[in-house]
Amino acid sequence: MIQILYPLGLLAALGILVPVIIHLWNIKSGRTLKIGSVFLLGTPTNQRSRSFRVQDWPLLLLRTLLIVLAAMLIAEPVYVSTQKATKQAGWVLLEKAEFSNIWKQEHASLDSLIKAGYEIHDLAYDFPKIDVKDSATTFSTPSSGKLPYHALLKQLDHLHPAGTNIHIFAANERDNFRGVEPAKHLNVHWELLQPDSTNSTWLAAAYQLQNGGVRTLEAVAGNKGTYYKTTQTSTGANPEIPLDTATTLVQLYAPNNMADAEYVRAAVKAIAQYTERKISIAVLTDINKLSPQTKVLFWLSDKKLTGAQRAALPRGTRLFSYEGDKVQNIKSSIQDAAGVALQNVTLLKRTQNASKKRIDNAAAPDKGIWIDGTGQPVLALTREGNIDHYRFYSRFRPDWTEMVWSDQMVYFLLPVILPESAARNAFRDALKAPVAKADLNNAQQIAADANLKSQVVATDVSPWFWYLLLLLFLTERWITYNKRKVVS
Amino acid sequence: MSKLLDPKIMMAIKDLSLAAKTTIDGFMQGINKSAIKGPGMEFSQYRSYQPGDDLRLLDWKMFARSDRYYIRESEIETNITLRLLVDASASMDHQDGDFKKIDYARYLAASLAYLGNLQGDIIGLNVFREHEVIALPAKQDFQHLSRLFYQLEQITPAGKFTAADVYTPLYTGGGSSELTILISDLYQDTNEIFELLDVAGTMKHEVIVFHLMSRNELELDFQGYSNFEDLETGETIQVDQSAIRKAYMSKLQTYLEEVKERALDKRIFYRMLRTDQPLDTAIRDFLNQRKKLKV
Repeated sequence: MIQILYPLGLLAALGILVPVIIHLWNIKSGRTLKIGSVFLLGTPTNQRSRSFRVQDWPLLLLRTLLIVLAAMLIAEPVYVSTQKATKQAGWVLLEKAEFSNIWKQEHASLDSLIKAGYEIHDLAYDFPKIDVKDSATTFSTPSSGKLPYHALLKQLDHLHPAGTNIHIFAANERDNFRGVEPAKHLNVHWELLQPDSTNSTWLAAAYQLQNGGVRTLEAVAGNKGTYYKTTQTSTGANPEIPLDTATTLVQLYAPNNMADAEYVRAAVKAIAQYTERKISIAVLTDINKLSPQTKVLFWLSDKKLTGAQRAALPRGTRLFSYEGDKVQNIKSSIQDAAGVALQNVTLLKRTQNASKKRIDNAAAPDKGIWIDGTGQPVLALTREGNIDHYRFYSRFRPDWTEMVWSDQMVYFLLPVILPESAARNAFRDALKAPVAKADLNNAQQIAADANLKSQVVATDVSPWFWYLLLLLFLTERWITYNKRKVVS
Repeated sequence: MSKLLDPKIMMAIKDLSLAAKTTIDGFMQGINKSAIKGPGMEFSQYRSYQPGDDLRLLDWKMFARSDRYYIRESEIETNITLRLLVDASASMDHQDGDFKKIDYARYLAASLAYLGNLQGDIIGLNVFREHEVIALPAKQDFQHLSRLFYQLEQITPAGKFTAADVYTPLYTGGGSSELTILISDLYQDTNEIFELLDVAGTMKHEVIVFHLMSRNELELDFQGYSNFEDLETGETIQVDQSAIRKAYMSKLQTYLEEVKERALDKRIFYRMLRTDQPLDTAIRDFLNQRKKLKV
């Protein structure tokens, strides 16, 4: 069955009006021959009815068909067929870089699966096949298309008929399972592995908490990179690293935008609550009364700070300000420099960046910490004299970005409140928490029953339309050419 | 009899007299002179007197010389009046290939006039235009033939066929019987051409009608055209030739039959000429009719 992906393209079929009009018109502009008498040719009474008669039905039909086909091409036709699901053993998915580790741990089950006919594929975008027996396969390099597993599952679901058995061997870190688990047709069997224990650890930071306790950050460097573990002690400094006892004073200046300030305050509070760090928030009404202890100043006003005011800020202040005047409607995402987007956050409006040209973010003078889908910085950091200036090219308002409704705002503001990477990564410590098997496969299992073992396959048929179009075009030309020859 | 040259070639000769001469000379080759002997100017033979012969025909000088009765005979010599009527209505501009019907009519008229002149006939010409009739009185001399050729050359078809009130004065006088030859395409609005023929018929003229039809008319072969304009009425019509071919052919047949019948009813000799055919049928018809008039 032919289906159309872009039905609006069929509007182009209105173009058939053109040949129809031409064919109706044609007869009127025909050449006139003067002859002795027309009385033998017929009665002139039917002249009127004849003048609106279409000439050359086959040619008109051809031309109409030509245009309809072109319209179909624009409408992107696909041939949708249901195929009987083949009796396929299924896939084993694992991260290529983890292969040796997994092989060590799950040798027996992997072996039996391979014997049962399972194929081993990389747990990455497009699922490249891993040939275990091929000595040319390099396992050490990490796969390029690494995505959260749930996103990969979505893709996987389209690749296989319903009910296919998929065995996934994956590290049980929560970080890999970000997002919402998708509903799927597949029979997914998770084999969760303990992370590789051959890691080196060291103390990265220690800071005093609100309740007086001390939290130390332990960096763990494994074969998948460095992550941080927190440990909490009641008191006492660790001699290895200095204890951070400072309080982060966050000042909010929003004379006309108190609603904006409330969103920020909530996010900062959430950060404070979770990290248990000493963070205090105050609303500033007069810039001249700025406390010298201020660490972060949120300047949530369209009125710019004057140069003198900026110079008067305490040394090391992190200034977060609204930037840009020219509002631009956009529908995009907010991504970090690596391209990982804030989840479920749409950027609806933004202000234009100073440089109008689209520039490479990496080369930009104010490097974006967060960028939008087009690569323009949304939050950019520049060091100006004594201060770190965070420029925000949008506003904390629901009609500007959905971020204010979402927990993602915490991630967004984290680099401003806690600029040290160690502290920031400790915040994400929770992502390294192990995932239990029970947490998975909770999403709806769709139509996995034995009766419906068929798969819907959509094939692009536009090449055939191209061939047909070409054929029709040549036929039309040929007929027209021959006709002309006869006339002349 | 040698085949006459193709009209296409003959009409390429712009000089009408030359074209006519070429045609007629070619035609007359091998045609025997009149076998009828009788009284006349040109001496033919003597024969001995038979009782019952008209004594007026006795050659008395011969009797004086030879003391015998001889009857002097000469070829019968009759010169008839020949009147050529040429239709110069716009429809004569109908074209097939390189020439128009009027060209053919001109050439035909010139050939007949030349032939007539050769035989000592008195020749007149009437060209029927919309509001006037160019009338060349019937005369018998070679210069008159030149005048006639000149008039023929001047014909430019325009408008409709002449109204009756214009030409009636020409046909009022009595006079002897004439041979009237009408060269026309017989496309008429009402009945004006046949009315003219009626007038000629009532004067006891022998009438020949040469009906000119071109090949593309007879075969409905107007290639590449779907619009047609009537040369006389200006009416346009759009037709698909292949679609109406059958109807056209039957209509054409009926039309030709009807015209022929009407002509025969009036005791008019009717001949349809295809403009792509040589003149020989036309000339033969002319000679036959001329003979009738003589006897």
